[in-house]
Amino acid sequence: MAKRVLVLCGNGVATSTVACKKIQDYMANANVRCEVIQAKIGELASYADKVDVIVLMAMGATLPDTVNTPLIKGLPFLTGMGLKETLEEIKKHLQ
Amino acid sequence: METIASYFKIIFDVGPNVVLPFFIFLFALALGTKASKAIRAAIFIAIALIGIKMVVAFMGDNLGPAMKALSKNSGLKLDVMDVGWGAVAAAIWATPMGAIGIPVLLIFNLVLLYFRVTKTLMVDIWNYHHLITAGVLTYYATDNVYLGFVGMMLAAFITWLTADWAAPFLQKFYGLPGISMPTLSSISELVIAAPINELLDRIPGVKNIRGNFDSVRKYLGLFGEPAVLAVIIGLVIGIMANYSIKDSLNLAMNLAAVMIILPKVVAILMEGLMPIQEASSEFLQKHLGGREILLGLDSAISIGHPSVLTAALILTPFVLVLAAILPGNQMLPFADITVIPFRIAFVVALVNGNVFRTLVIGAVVLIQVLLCGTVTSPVLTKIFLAVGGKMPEGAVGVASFSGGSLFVTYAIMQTLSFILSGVIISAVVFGLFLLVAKSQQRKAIQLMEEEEENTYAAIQNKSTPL
Repeated sequence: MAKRVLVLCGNGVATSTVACKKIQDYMANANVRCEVIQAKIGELASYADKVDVIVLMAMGATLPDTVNTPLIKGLPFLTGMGLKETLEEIKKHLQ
Repeated sequence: METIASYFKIIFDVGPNVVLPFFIFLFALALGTKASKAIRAAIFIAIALIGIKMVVAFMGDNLGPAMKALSKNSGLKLDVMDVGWGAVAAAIWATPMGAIGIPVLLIFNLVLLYFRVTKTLMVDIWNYHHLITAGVLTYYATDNVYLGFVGMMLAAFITWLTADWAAPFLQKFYGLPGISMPTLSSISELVIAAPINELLDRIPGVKNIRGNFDSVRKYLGLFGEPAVLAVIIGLVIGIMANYSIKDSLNLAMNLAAVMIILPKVVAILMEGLMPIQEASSEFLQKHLGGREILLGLDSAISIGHPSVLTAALILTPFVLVLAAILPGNQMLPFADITVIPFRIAFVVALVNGNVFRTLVIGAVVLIQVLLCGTVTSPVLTKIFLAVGGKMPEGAVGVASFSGGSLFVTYAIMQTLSFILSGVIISAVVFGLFLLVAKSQQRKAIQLMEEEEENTYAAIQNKSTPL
């Protein structure tokens, strides 16, 4: 089964779309099969334990202690700085 | 003047589903995007515009009659439908000004950076829609294209300068060095929040209340799930409208569908705009000439702080009750009830996470949103209909928590239309804001530094290894 990455942002529309698209393109190029899920921060509880890695576009957020899924901060998707490293890190969790 | 008028007419004749994509295509090419990518972007913009219209029409078909029954059976006169910020943004992008807005604002931003008026480089093209909305609303309110452009640039000017002002405490609170957040839907509230916070600083007793709201998330957590929230709202409206159980349940499910599908359709708009976003961002960064800048990003990156979520959970049911009892309000909050976190994200940083203060200020902000939304609804409705929207049966107009419901946008619209009440309110609020801005900025940073020192001292005392 393809591994899953959850992209979380404030309302699941703008910033998370940018991240989703870039992750999908990058993984497709690298031949990594994965499913990218886009959600609002409020929906976290419903997804947290069903995914392999979480990309957080909301910087102020803290995840509940019950969530053990690896977490990656998604700021590079917006600034472009360190984007490749971030994508590589996501890739590691998806292989 | 003639040419502009005929240009606007031609565009409306061809239809926004064709014209905006065409402009986006040309604009993407001009910025150096590959033709294949530009075509795809343009088509996705059209898909999004069509999709948003479909979902909003479905919402109108279901919510409209319920609103009518609600006012007949409960006496609540809530006949302005909250179609959500996405629908407003789509309507605005579809106007002739929407297409030209992006290049105008790009250049305006570079000019202001060049002359060091602002430090914010707004690479977040997506949220240009808030600024363009201020322009289009002004244009429709005054029937003057030039005033429309003045309104748009005024909105940009206020947004970027306020973003500069807020950047120091937002950076510190959210841990985002080098960044500012020129998102008008979050910035606008600071203009109201700063004076109120200054007032709270001066009231003995109230001054030190922080409040303990830890249990809130346990009991109100359901309100954080948009689908569940929509079902609850649907059921309450259905029952109050004297619907049968069967009809209430159907209304609830249909509204839940809208709540989940609408953002997904709006996300298609973002997908279409992405090549423009990337190319514009590159264009902006290339033409900077080594100026000191703050990278202006979407305020979405600040949503999710526990205090923001806690306060939003309390304010969500509050705004529904408020809508029913607030004199002068006609808006029935629905599609935008999930954006409350955006309205308070910066307030939380200003008050250093104090949930009590966030609630007090948040309540005032929501009162303002409902009232300004009601007042500016006729103009927005005119635009909504002009770009091919359909008036829902049972409603007299549309509104959202965005557009004219934002104080800054309301102030620009009313002032440029020379509506006396609006001019006075705007002058007073902006006057108070300017009066306290400096001290509020200083205090916000000071509060965070004190907290840091206390935490550090506590760690030292315990001498626990980090």
